[in-house]
This record gives sequence, C-alpha cells and structure tokens, in this order.
Amino acid sequence: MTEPTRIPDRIFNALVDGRLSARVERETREALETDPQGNERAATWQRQSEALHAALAPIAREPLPLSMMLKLRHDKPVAWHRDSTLWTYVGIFAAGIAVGLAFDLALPTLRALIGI
Amino acid sequence: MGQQIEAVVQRLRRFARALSHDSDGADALVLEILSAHEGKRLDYPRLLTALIARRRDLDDRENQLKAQRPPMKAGCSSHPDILRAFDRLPLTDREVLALIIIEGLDYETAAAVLAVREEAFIARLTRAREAFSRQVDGQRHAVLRIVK
Repeated sequence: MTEPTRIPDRIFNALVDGRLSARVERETREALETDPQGNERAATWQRQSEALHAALAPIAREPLPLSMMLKLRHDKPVAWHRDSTLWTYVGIFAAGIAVGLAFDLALPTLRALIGI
Repeated sequence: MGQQIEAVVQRLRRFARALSHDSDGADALVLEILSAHEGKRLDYPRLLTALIARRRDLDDRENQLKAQRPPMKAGCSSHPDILRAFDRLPLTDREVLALIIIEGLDYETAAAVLAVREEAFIARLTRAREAFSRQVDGQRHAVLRIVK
C-alpha cells in the first residue's frame, strides 16, 4: 500500500483557507487522493471554518450601538481631524505671512499714491 | 472617511465577539480599545493586538474568579452549535482561528498581531483547528445522545 504523502501544515492550512495557487492546490489535492483521512480532515476543517465565518459574519453588518456611535463621533475628529486642524492653522499662518509680504511690497506704491 | 472608521469598528466588534463570551462584554472591550487609541491613527493590526492583550487580561481575571460563562447572545443564534463549540475553546485557540477564519488575515500578518514567528503561528493554527474539530464532534455526539 502506498504511504500517504505528508503535507506540511502550512500547505494543509492554506488549502483549507483557500490560499494556495491553482497549481499548488491541484498538486495538494492529488496528494490527498492517496490519503483519505487527510482528505476528510481538510473537508471537515473547511466546512467548520465556513460555518464559523457565516455564524459571525452578520455582526460586521450590524449597525453600531449608540454608545459606540457617540464614541466615534467624539473620536473621529480626534483621530483625523487633529491632523486637519493642524493643517488649518498652518494654512492660516501661511496666509497671514503672504498677506503681510504683499502689504510690505505694496507699501511704497501706496505711499507714493497717497503722497506721504 | 467616517464610513471607513465605522466599517473598521464593525469588524473589530465581530472580532471581539469571537473572543468574548457575551456581546455586551465584547462591545465594552471595543469601546475600551477605542478609548485607549483615541487620537492615534487607526492601525487595524495594532488594534487587534491591543484587543487580544486586553481580552487575555480579562480571561485571566475571569479564570481567577472562576466565573460562570454566560452563553453567547443574539446575533449568533442562527448558528448556536458551531459558536458554542468555538466558545468552549481556550482563548489562545480562539485567537488564531478568529484571525484567520473571521478576519481573513494572511499568516504573516496574523503572526505579527500575536507577536509570534510564522512557523509557531501555523503550529498553533493546526492545534486550534484540531481542538475545534473535537469540540464540534463532541457537541454533535452530545446532541445525538440527547436525541436517543
């Protein structure tokens, strides 16, 4: 009787998780044909993974509870708006400098016009 | 941007629910992690690592108190058997399974979340799957005994 090929754990798990390339998956499945126990184990693990994923999937689609929404409303500005607030201040500061420079450049012309 | 954050928190909630024994506890855990990361950039793997660490602390405390596990609450009721089997696993097994099956992380990222080497992670994943399988089988046999 042919001894079943020992499939490394990494390959076996990747097969169950559907993360093998088409070629490696084909070779692994061919190897499993000589190993009914391994084949059954892969199928069982795959079924159980799918069932677990399906059982918890709806949670990621549930609307967030109010406490969490309030937290996010409070935090969102902190997480991202802190950066945007900083840039707003930088922008105002830069605009102030630009206006000051423009005024400084225009001052001699203004003086000449007014006659001071 | 707001929707993106919401989606991240929804995923985090699902992950927390997988590791916790009740939905209220899971939500409290998510709120705690969000508070701890207030003002920081949302780095999802880092949030997962923080959540796992906190969950371990809580588990240690619960084990010390020998608290009774309340059953999982609504939202999971359509698949109670698989969740019950999952819920019976030790936290370390639930962590690896949740990172791969629920979060869909690649092995390298999942290993980084748990701060272990990838080979060690694969070994833990294999053990967790075997344990999960035994739990599911055990549950099925228990149901059959009840039916008989």
